[in-house]
Amino acid sequence: MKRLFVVMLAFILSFAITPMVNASPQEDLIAYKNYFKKKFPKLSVVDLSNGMYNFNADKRSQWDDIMSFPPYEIAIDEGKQFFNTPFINGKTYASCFVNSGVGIAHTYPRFDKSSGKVKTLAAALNECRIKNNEKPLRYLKGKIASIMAYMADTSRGKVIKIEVPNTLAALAAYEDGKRIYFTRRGPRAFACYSCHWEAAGQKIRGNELSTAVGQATHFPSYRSKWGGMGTIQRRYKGCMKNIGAKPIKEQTEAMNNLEYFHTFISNGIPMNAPGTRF
Amino acid sequence: MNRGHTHHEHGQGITLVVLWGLIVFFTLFALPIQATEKSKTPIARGEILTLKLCQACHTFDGANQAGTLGPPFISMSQRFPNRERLRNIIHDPQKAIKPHTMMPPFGRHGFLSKKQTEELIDFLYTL
Repeated sequence: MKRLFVVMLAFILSFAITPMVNASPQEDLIAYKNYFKKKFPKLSVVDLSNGMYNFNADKRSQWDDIMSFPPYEIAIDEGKQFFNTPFINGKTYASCFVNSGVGIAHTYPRFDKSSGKVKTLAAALNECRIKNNEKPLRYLKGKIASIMAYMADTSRGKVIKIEVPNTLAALAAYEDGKRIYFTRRGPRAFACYSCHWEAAGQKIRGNELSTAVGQATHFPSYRSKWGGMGTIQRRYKGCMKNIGAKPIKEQTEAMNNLEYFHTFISNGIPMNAPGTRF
Repeated sequence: MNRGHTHHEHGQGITLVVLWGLIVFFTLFALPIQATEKSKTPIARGEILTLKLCQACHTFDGANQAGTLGPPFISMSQRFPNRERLRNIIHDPQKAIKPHTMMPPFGRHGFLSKKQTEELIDFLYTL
């Protein structure tokens, strides 16, 4: 009788506990993609990387015109030159990356087992510089964005492939990024989720809101508003400023975890970076 | 003497230029600010607040670059005959509508004073 009671209790508890366990990143990915597939049945998952230009024919046409001579091409050329210019010790960035840094941008950010933290491509570039006795570059724009533009261009067409290892630390980083994405911040109490999930496709002021899934595929990007290139963390900071919130500092654990989660949810979508936005 | 006289005239010239500058400045900039912030009617001030805070998401007659996130402001007095209800939504929609609404808590987070909320509602009721 006692045994029966224990079995029944275990059975009931298993149902009670199940909802408390977080969905796995893979389950999240399927659920999120299905959400947008259902919301925008005419758009393929690849289309989602076109962001706001999916929702306004006039802007799409202007964007297509701009893409005849993409303004990011200068950055790709510059970035290639920077990437291949030897450091004082004679080595180049290629010495720090697998496959000499070619065709790997679509796998960043990565979870770095040795540090137990997320490592962005920008951080990996600066780590490479420090390792070779060079001063780190300023994050967000400028030279580092150009190098990233070149590296991204060598990954163009490859599907985003962010791995979340099945370890407590990696899963915690993923969950933290997810929490940040869904947390309201600032006086207007907006979360990233507020604009780019249920409200995606709608207009805020004169602009259509892009879908969360697909956004990370086109960074770094040339934005007309910036008049130059910027990394995804530059865009996050701009977004946070726009909603009146205090931006999270670039390359902090929180910002990197956000980039980790946000890029992961574009897994399976071809990289189309560098990109152009106005 | 002549030199001093010239200097005096020069000084007068500068005074005139500064005076004209001040007149132009107040005509172009200061007066409209006064007009928008102080001398207009509550409904007119409510319209300015609506353009500033609401049109990002709601469209209405007179809006420019309006958003489509929220419902358009039409027939407001018919849709919200209970002024208290509208006041509560503007103050804290997460409480008055639903916890997950995207609408910011304009009153609770201090975007609008009680007086401004009433002015905004006065304007909404004209739509």
